[in-house]
Amino acid sequence: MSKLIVGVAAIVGGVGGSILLFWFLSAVVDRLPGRWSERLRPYAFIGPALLLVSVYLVYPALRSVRDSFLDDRSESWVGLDNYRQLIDDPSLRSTLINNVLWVIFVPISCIAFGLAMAVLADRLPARSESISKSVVFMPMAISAVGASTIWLFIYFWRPAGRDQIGLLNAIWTGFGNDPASWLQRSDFRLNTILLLIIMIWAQTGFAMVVLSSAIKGVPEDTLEAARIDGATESQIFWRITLPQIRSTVAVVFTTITIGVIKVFDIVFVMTGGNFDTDVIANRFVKELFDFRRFGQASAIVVFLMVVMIPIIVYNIRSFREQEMAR
Amino acid sequence: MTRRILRLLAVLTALALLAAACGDSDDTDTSDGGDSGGSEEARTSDGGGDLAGESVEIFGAFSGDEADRMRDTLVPLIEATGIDVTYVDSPAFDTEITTRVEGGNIPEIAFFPQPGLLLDIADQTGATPVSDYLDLAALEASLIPGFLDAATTDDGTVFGFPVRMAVKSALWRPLPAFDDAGYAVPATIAELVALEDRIISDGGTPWCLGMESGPATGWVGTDWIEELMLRLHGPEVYDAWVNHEIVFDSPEVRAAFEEFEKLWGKDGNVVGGSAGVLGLGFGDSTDDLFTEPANCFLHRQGNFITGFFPEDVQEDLDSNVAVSYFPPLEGGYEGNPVLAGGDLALLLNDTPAARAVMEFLASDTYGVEWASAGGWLSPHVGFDASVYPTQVERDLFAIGANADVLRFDASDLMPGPVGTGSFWTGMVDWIGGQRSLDEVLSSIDESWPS
Repeated sequence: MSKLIVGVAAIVGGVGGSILLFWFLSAVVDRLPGRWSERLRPYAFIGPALLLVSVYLVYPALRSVRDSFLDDRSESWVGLDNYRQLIDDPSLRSTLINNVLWVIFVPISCIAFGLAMAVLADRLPARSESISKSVVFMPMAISAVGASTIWLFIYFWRPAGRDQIGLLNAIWTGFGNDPASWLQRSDFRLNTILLLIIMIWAQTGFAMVVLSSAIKGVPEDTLEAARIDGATESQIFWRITLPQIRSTVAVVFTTITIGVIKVFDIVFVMTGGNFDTDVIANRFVKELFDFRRFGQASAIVVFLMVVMIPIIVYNIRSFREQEMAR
Repeated sequence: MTRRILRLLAVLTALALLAAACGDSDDTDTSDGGDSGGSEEARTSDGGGDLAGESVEIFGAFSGDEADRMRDTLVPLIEATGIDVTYVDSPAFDTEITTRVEGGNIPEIAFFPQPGLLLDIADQTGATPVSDYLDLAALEASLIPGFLDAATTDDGTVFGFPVRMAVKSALWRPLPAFDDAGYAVPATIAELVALEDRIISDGGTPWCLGMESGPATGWVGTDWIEELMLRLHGPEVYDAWVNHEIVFDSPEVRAAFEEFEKLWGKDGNVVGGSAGVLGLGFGDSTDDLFTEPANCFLHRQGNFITGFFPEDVQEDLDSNVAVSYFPPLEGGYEGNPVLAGGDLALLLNDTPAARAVMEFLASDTYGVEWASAGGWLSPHVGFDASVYPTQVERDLFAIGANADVLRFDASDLMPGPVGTGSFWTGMVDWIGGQRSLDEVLSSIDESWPS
């Protein structure tokens, strides 16, 4: 009950407060002499958002950079020690290999499956198209923790001789094999591959929806012209459709890549980073919350940030390109 | 136009709802302990009166039913002295006690599950040593030997004492399966190994040993190493190991790992082999004790594990399961060491009323109400064991009471990056075969903070 009251109060206070704030700012700007009023109006509206972003994003980012040069309690300067420790850690190499596997496989697979779904669904009657797309999109509605729990049951293992309630082992033993403890199989990073399949499963829907709308935006006359010239369907796809949605593909690719670099929840739920499945973001959580080594945790975050900045820049550029093409 | 505004409002509302759902209010339970309860004779020597109405707050980690039972134990004190004692719990005790101390909102008394944190806070606040308000020698004689060591600083000052005991050196066996098969409770590790061989030759699997515990996987293994360290080398080496005076990559620690490998590495000795050790939940793995016929006959785990037994077993514990002392190792440390834990009380705000409460908590008859309700073991050797409702609890208490030395969980005492980090993952990597014993031992040493 008290939660309900808090919820209602938050809605009334939050929405009402925002309306009041903007109403007040706009009233203030209105009072100003003509030229100033016009000049300041955009800032009156964008100002609060800028303020929030700097308080909740810019400040913490700068602070993380500072903390990464401080000791575990963020009290005295230690120079580059945190970075040195990070690099010297023998398990870092294994972690980075996993991150690279994630970054290579997940975005490409999502785009490939998403594109295939989008193109194929485009040819279905409207009703079947929307049903099939909804099904593929549905995992997007599940949180990563929820999705991981579902897949935990798919990969579930029990000793030989017991009922195998895991789907994969039910099939595997159905072929006469001994049940395999999938998540412990680190040869050829099999377990990491099994984990990243979860992300592909969850993110393909996103890729499909965005790419599908881009495909539908491809002007019909270009396709028609190609058909009249006798192009095959696969030629049309590779030479007419794909070049026209290139920037959308880039946006989807970079968006998923950013999500993949940050991946933490799937690993945390499935293996906790054990059995050589650790990823960089999970190490950050361990350092911060389990070991309370703020310096080390900040160094990991700064490392992640540095890796991600070029991808984000590319993402924004592609997005602009895409907007301009419209 | 109006439609557009309406749509905008709808979006804003949805966002606010989301924000409200995320910013959940966490209500701290601050109900006080003065509800009903049996009127028993007062057990404090203090002649009440002058302290009546004084308030004392006890801050601790256990909550729910346990908190209610804890409050019941305070009723006799409240009735006898009129001190207004309240018990406040927090699910995030560790972080909250730190912030409360830093913010100056200090409770009179706090119960620490972690001795390391108790000593940190005692040092930070300049807390009152136990010898200032209690007869330390008498307390030490009343408690299980070694219990106070955990709350003693390097220079020998004792800051806390236990108000509850958890026993880890417990060997569980299923009834009646174990007796029906004609097996006998082993008194030494050699007898235990002979029993394993006999169970295997009878076509059974001796051990249930599951370590899976989500992101905390590995702690079951560290408990095993600690148990074996105590049995191989005794408390002095154990303490040196906890302080990293003896490193992991040393003959002593290596011997404990090798001793443990004889158990999980032996063919057919553990349900599911090494994959089972790492893949089966520490709680779920006990299910196999109670199958028909029993899938396994032995399990080593702390007294809390009864809460993970199947429900029908919990309802009638004594006819389904029995517990005995995890046996000593011949040729190792001579004596009965016990791996244990407990909540340790620290006096943070030294008032006369708080002293009276501490005196009450330190009594060897404290906790009768909770003991008879179940789920609580006294840290005092002389506690009346007949109060416990089950034979299992009487036996668990006896394991503690018969110990000639008690040690806390070493991984809890080691620095976080080791105790909840590399020691855990080291166990997993070693048993899973991702890394060799050499690699694991040296990487744990490397992770020790300088």
